[in-house]
Amino acid sequence: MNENRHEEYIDEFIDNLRNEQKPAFYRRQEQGKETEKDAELEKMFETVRAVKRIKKAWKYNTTAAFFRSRSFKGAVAAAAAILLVLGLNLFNLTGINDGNIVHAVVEAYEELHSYKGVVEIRSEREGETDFLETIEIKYQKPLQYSAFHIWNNSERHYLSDGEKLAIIGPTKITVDNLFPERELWRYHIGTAVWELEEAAEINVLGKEKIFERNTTVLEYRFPGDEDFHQMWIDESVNLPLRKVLNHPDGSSLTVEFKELEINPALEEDSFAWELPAGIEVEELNQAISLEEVKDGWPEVGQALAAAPADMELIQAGLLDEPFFDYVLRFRGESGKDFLDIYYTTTPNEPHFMAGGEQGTLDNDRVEVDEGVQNVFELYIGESNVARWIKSDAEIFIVSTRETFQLEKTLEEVAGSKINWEAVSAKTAQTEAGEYTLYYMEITDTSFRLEKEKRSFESPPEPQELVKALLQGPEKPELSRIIPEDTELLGVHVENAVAYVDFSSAIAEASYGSEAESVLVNSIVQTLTQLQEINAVQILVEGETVESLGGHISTFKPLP
Amino acid sequence: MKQAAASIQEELNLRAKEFWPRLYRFFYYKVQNKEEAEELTQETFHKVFRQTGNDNIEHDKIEAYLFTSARNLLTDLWRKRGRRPGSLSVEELREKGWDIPQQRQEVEERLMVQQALQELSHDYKKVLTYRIIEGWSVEEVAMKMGRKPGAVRSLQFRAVQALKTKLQEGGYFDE
Repeated sequence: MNENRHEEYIDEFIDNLRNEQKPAFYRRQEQGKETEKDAELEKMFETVRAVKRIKKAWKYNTTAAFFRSRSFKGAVAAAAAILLVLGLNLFNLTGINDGNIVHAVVEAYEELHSYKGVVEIRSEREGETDFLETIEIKYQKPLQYSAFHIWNNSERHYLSDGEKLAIIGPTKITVDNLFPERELWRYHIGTAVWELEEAAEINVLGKEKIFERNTTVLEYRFPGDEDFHQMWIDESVNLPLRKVLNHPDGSSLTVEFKELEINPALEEDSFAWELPAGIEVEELNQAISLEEVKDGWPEVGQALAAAPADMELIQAGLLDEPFFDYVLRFRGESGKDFLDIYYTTTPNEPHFMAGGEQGTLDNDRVEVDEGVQNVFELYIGESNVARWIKSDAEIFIVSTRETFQLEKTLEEVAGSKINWEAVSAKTAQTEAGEYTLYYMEITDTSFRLEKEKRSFESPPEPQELVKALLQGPEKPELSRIIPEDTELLGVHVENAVAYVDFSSAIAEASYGSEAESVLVNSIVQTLTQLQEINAVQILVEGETVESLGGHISTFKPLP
Repeated sequence: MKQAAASIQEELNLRAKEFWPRLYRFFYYKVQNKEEAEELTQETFHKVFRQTGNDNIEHDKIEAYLFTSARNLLTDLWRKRGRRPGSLSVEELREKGWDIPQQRQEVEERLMVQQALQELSHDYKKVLTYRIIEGWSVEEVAMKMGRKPGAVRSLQFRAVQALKTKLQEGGYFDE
């Protein structure tokens, strides 16, 4: 048997396993297209499998690595999905439908009025625990709780009567008069429930017994996010017992209830506002009347009128923190639905939020972004934000509501429409003639998008920039990402969309998701720094293609 | 008779959730790709489901029956692919289906493969790690290693050959 053929077979086999596909060699064998039955070749295949099995063992050995691998999770998820199909067609399985589970969890949370338990929060990196906190909590809807936190030999008691929060330490008590939920959201059962509700994808992974309870294990993913997180749902009460949030950097955060009682009989004075005597009390923020707000925020009436009609003002406050002076807190019907409007007469720096949108409102800058993590370290998880930065004031909205509702609120406050066209944010372009080209930097563990500045004598045409990408970087530590034999067939701009046409070589290389992201972003970010270009449509031989490498859709223009 | 068969199917139905992941894990470990593992798991279920229509087996034997089927399926497959099938007891299979890493034999296998990998040259180790364990594409590995894709393909082939020889010497393929 010719060695070159074997070389091809091994390469193909490795690629099949990496993609979790049935080896094409066997497929051809089954179809009678491959007659070779070679014990040596099979041993080489088995050698490849043996190497891949090490990977699996790694996953079991270190928690972080376990969750980092997508292929294994994908495999289990797919098994669960097939089980569903099989169940419906053949076995009539019931109760393992993920939609049903979310529904059951949300209903169970609605039925919940209180809980009591012991929570452990654990952060892990490379299999090592780098943070551990234990919390004994009693909670009662909507916002009363008493929690003893223990970490690193420190102890704090968090006590909320529903309106204000006391953080009681050994030598100091801090009372926050406006944000009683501070801290609670990090481990609250409701947070986990809402995460499930917001998930873009949920798969049932199987069953597991933890802390003597039978649980259904799920994985879930937030919209626009690739990483899956896991949650263990207690089958007797249909509420989350444990969740593991996985960060793209390989670390993970586990929040688990080692003990949990739902709707227990709580003592009447569980949340009584009793502060230990003899300890210094620091007051933080003040709940004030709307009249008092008016003193520093004369147009507060407009903000009140602009807030969504189905929400209720629960508190107005004067803030002690440096960035904002006042806050109006609105709540919707469900416990998680909120909209807080902040105001200051000393506007903060404009902040270009990656992935955010920018426009103008009455000629002043507007920034809108969705899915922002842990805003002010107070809104744990993801929130949507909108800012309107005027010369003498700034309004900042944080909310669970969709960004268009935040925009509408700002527009109503201003009495005019946001202009998205007049974006003043071509920030990438620093001086006349200097432009940024985006190339790839290869590190030991990843591919990254990196910048290289180039000077152009006159403003460059879009094709000049793409040609510069094709020619490759000047810095030796960077690499070109567009495959070498790719030709640029043409560029034209229409309605602020640049249509960039490449020869087929660009779609023939095989990219991992990371390399593909660098490839697409290098083209898009390089071109969108030009004033006349807001988005880029990549074409291959004059046609739109679904994707260059199978991970990122290129069917539509990319902004 | 019919009554008994029907209730076996019912039992299978009830316990499918429990058996599926175990069988799947067993097959995945063997074939190392999800598509084949799914195919084989599904085939095992179908086979047993069809057969219980005629066979009258005792309820507590369903598990053994299912796992025997799985084993036979795999043995047939290996034979078709020119590989000498090893002998696997049903008990072992059952255990494997459950908890792979705790299986002594598998831990030993893994140690042997890791040891053999360590003995390979730097480039061989690197190309196998990049390609198979970390799962980069040939083009990506070419960039990482500063070689042409064609060179990576022949490097990985020679690396697999070298590792196969080491494993063979260690008796890895004598099941």
